[in-house]
Amino acid sequence: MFDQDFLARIREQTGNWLDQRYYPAAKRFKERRKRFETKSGLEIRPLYTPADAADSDFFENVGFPGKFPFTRGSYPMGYRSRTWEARQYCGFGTAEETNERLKFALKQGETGLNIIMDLPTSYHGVDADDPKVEGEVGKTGVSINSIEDMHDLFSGIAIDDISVTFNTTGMVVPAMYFAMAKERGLDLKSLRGTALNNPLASYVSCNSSILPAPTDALRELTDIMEFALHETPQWNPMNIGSYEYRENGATAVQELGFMFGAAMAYCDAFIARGLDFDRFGPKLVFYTSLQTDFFEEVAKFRAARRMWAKIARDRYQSKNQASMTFRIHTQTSGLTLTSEQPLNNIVRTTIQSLAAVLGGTNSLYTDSYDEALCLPTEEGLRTAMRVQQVIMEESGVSQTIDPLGGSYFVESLTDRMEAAANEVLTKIEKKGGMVKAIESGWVQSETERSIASYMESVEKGENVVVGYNKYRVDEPVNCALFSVDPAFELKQKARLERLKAERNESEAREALDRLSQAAKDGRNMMEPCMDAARARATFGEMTQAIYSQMESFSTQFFRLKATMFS
Amino acid sequence: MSKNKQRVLLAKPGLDGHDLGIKIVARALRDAGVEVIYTGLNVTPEEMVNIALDEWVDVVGISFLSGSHLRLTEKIMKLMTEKDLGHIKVMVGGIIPHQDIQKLTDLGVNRVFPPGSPVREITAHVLSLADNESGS
Repeated sequence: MFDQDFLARIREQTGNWLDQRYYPAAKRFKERRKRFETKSGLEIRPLYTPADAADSDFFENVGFPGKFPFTRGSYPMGYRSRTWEARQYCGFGTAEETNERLKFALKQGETGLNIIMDLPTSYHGVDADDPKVEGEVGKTGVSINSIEDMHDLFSGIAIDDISVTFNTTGMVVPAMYFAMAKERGLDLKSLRGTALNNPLASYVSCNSSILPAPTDALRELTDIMEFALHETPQWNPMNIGSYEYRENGATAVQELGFMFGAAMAYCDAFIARGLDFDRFGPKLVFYTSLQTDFFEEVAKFRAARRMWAKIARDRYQSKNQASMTFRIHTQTSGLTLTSEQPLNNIVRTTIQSLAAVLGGTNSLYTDSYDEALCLPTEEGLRTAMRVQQVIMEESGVSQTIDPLGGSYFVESLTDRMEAAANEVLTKIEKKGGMVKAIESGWVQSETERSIASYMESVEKGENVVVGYNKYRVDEPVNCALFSVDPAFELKQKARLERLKAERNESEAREALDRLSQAAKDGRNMMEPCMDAARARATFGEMTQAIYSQMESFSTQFFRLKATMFS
Repeated sequence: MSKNKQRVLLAKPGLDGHDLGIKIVARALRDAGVEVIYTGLNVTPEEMVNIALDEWVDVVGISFLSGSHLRLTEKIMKLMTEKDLGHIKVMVGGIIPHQDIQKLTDLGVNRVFPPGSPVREITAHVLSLADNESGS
C-alpha cells in the first residue's frame, strides 16, 4: 500500500520512538497491565503506524463498499440512504399484550419488528396447556400456539409494510405466520422479514428439548429455504448466528470461526438438496452479539464481511454479488449487562451500539438497561431506542462509510481477527465440519475454556466489570421491575380450549396426518404445515406431527452439556 | 476425624436453558475441592430430588433465570421434606428479585444469591456449611 522507502523509514522511526521515548517512560511510570490485549487475546501494541497496514493489499483486502471483498461495507451507500434497521425484542404474555407492546415500540421509532416467544414455544415445542410448562407460559416471551394468536399478534399492524423477525427455530412458527398472512389476503411475495432458524447454535447453547438430530434439523431448514426461494423472495428463512456461541462464552475470534463453520454446514446441506448457491446465497443473513471491547467489535464486522466474500467466491464459486454480500443483525450482549447499578448498562449498550454502527451493521437490537433483571420495561425499551436514535441523529458518525477504515490499528486488528478466525475454521474442518465439531462436544468445550479463563480473570480482578468487581455499591438494586402477570397463562389456556372446541376436529386431524406423512416421506413440509395451521391445528400438535417422524436428540446433547464443564 | 469430600448437587429445573452461571459456580466449587454433580437442563423437581437422594448430597444449589423460582422452589422443598431430605441445605441463585428473597427463605432456603453475587462468596458459603456440619 505504501512506498517501500517510506515504510522502511516508518519502521526505523517507530523503533527509535519506542527506544527513546516509550520504554524509558515505561520504566518510570509502569504500564498498568501485564499485557494489553483484546478480550479474545490479540495483542495490542502501544502504537500503530502505516507499517502495520503495509502487508494488506488495499484493492484485494480493503477495497470499496458494496464491492468485493466488502470490508468497508455491504452496500455502496452505507447509511447515507437508509440507516440500520432498529428492531427491539417484544414478547410477553399472550398475543394481545405483545400486540400492544409492538405498537408502543413502533411509536418509539423502531423500524422493524422483532418477536420473541416464550420458552414453551421457542424451545420446547408445546402449547400452553401442556402440564410440563406450567408457570412458564408467556414469561420470557409471547405464547404463540395457533394461527389465531398470529392474527391477534399483528392486529392493526400492516405486516406487508414492515420487516418482521421471529426469534424461533423450526418451520411451524413461519408456517403459522404465512398462513395468517394468506388469510388476510396478502401476497407472500410482499412479506419482508426473517426467522432465526439456527439449529446448530441451539445444539451448543442447548436450550431446546425438541430439536431433532442434526440431519433432520438440516432437512427441516432446507424445506424452509426451498419454500422461501419459490414463494417469499423478500423473506429470509434463517439467520446464521454467532450470538449463542458468544453469549455462552466464546471469544470474538471463536465467534467468527463458529459462525462461518455453521454457515458452511448449512450451505453444504442446501447444495446437497440441489439448491444453487447463487440462488440461496442472497437469502442468507447473519446475526451477532456485540460486547464492550470497542475496537475488537468494529474489526470483527470488517473481518466478517471479507471472510464471507472470500468463502462465497472461493469455496462456492459464487458469481453473484448478492451472494457474496454479508448482511448482519446485531444484538448487544446480554452477558455483559450487570444487575448492579443497572443505569451503567445504558453506557455499555451505547458503546456496543456505536461499535455496531461503526462496524456497519445492517440491523440492530439494543438491550434495555434492565434486561439483567427482568424483561424490558417500557422505559427500558424506550431508552434503548433513544441510544440508537442519538447515535443516528446527533453523533454524525453515519455520514461517511466505514469511518474507522484507514486507522492503522483497526486495519491491523481486522487482518489479525480474520487470520485468527481462519485458524478456528481450519480446526473445524479437521474435525470433519461444524456438525461433527458440535456432536463431539468440541465447540462446547472450546467455548467453556474461554469463559472459564475470562471468569477467572474477573475473579482475580485482572478484568474489571464495573459495579461487580470494582466500584461496587453494596445496596439493593432499586429499579422498577417488569413482571409478567400469571393470569396471562390462564388466559392463553382458555384461548386454546376455545380454539379446539370451535375448530372442525376431523379437518384438523387430517391436516396433521398429512403433515406427518410429508415428514415421513421426505417431502417438503411447509405447505402441509400451513394447511394444518389454517385448519386450526395448534403449534404443539404441528410440532409433534413433524418431530415424531424424526430422530430425537435432546437426551444425547443434554448429557453432553452436563459433562462439559469438567 | 477425616472429613469426606463435600457433595453438592447443582440443578437447572424448569424450561430455561441458560446455564452459563451455574456452570461457572460448578467449576469454582470443583476447584475448591467439592464434589459437584450437575443435573443438566430441563430437570423436573421430582428428578432432581431423586438425584439428591441417590447421590447423598450435602447441599443443593438451584439456578433460576426465567421467573419460575417461587413456584418451583416451593415444589422442590415440599418434595425434599417428603423424602426426608430436610438436612440438605438448599441455595438458590440467578435472577431473583429482591422482594422474593425473604419468600424463598421462608420456604426453607438456606441462602439466596441474587444477581451479581461474587462467585467466591458462593464458594465460601458452601465450604462454611461443611465446617458447620463437621463441628456439630
